[in-house]
Amino acid sequence: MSYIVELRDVWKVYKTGDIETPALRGVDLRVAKGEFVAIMGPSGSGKSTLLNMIGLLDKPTRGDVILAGKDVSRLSSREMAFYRNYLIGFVFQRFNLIGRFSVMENVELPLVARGVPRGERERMVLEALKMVGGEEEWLRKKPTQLSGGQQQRVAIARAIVGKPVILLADEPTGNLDRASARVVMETFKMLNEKGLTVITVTHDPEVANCSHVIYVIRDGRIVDVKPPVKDRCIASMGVV
Amino acid sequence: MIRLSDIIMLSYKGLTEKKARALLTIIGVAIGPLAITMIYGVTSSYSDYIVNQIQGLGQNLVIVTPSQGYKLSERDLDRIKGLDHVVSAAPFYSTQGYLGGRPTDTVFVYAVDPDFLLKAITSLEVLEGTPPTQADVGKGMIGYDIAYDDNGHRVYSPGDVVSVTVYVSNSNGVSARRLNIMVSAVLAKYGGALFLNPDKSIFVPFNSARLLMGASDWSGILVLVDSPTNVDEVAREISDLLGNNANVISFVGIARIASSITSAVNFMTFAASLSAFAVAVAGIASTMITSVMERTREIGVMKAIGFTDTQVVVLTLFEGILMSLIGGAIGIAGGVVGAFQLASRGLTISSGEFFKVTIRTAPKFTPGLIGGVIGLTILVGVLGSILPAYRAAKIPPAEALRYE
Repeated sequence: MSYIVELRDVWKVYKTGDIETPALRGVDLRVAKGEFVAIMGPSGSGKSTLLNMIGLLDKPTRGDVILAGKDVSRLSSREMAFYRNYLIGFVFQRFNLIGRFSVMENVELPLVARGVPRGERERMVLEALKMVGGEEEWLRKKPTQLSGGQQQRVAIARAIVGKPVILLADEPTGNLDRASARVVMETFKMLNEKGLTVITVTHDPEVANCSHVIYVIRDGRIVDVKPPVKDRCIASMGVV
Repeated sequence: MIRLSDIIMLSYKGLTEKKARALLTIIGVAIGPLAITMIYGVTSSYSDYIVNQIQGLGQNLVIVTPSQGYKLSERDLDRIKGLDHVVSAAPFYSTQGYLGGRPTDTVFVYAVDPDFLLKAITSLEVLEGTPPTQADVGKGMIGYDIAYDDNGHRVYSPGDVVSVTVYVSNSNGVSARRLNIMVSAVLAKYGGALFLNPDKSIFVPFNSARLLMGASDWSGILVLVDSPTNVDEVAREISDLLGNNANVISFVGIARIASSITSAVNFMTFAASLSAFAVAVAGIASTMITSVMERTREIGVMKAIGFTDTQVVVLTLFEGILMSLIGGAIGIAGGVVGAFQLASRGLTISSGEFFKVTIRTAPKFTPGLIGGVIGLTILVGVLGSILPAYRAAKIPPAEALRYE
């Protein structure tokens, strides 16, 4: 079986002077194409570091990271940027939209880096925004003129506008109320059903339960792999 | 590959985030270009004007004037005429006076061989009438501004008599003498008034100085040289010949001095402006370093979504360059306005009471000047933002995303 993401004995050790702090200790992980994976664990367990390795935001101290069949552990920063742009979409807990840009300008950023012409960008942005349930009238607005849930949908649109194959989300519902969190997870499920591989880091079991498989990480090691409780997925629960 | 239009858009958006800070930096940048454009614009136009005026008076001409207490003589004239490369030489007498009974209507009177004068200063043209000969004592050529008033109405025609009161210096001191000169020719409009103002002058045959004005001493000798390239050599030989008894000047030499003075002024201006440019570099660097620090998280996001380190460098550099280009444009525009303002006041050159001339000329802005200022401005932007851009590029994306 071919995997879209494969981590083999991945270590990440942070050094501060002579002190070494291992954040990941030999992680092995395989994610199949089209899979929806949740990574859970307490704070400081290495969840975000693991996501950074998959998302090519950081390099492992040891071990291999293989994306779409290619070993990407030792790429140059330029090549890593290229893979991030074409293969990966990021969704952050704090949305990380740029305040001085309009929604349109925020969503089109990955396409700007790619050099896509303006006309084509507008079409792709609108398509992405509609896919996440956004509205065309948001395009001219500034992010601060939208609610938290709407901002996160804009952030998801930015993540998928370049048609990546993997969507990485770091606590995507951490800053949202339950209703907004539910909409976001519904969006993730919908995107996953359309073939997008989704990997999310979360504290929230009701978010993790929306996935196909839950990996539990503690002290930099995957200590448990368990199936989700489907009827406890926030996307299939009524709004309280 | 990121598009240029997007680089401009993203950089412009970056500037608009902290408008006051960007504006202050831009003002800081504008000072250097303003100073250079203004001062260079004015000095080069004055320089060109002076050089053109001087050269127009005769590039083959050397003037010999006596030092205080010395009288130039026929013997000096013969010795000068005998030098190599000297085509001819003629004595002249010059004085100042006024027309009719109006002391404010100042004119200059030159007694010199008319034929020699028209050969030596080829830019002098006769508009109407016939130049007097050496024998025509009592006749003269008058300048355009004497023949015509300020409104262009004719005052004197050939055949009319001009009444002029002149001051004559002789062994008894200075005395005023009234002359009636018949106009034999009117000179074409010459323009300019530096060193010699033909439009406000009356040229009479040399003998008139002695016969009409009673002047016995020559004001100087005009020497016509065969070629401008031999002017320096002839001037040097005359200096050797007369020693400290005479001052020898050539218009070519004066033009060269005027040019070198302007070059020195321009160099000093440039050196002073470099300080302003150095301050501008520091201003941009400070603004951009602060900006990069404030945007650390944003830079992390941009890298996470696929911007390369080079693209981050280009965007940061371009923001600095854009800021300095706006400052440069404001500075150049301000410099142009300032130069016109300065030029409108005119440049007054005076030497005692006798010689006072105010030059009024439009400032000169060459493509070289504007291009040079823009080039320097871009350099300021690059130098000011290169370090912040490098820092931005080196921020690890994972770290940047954690930045609070």
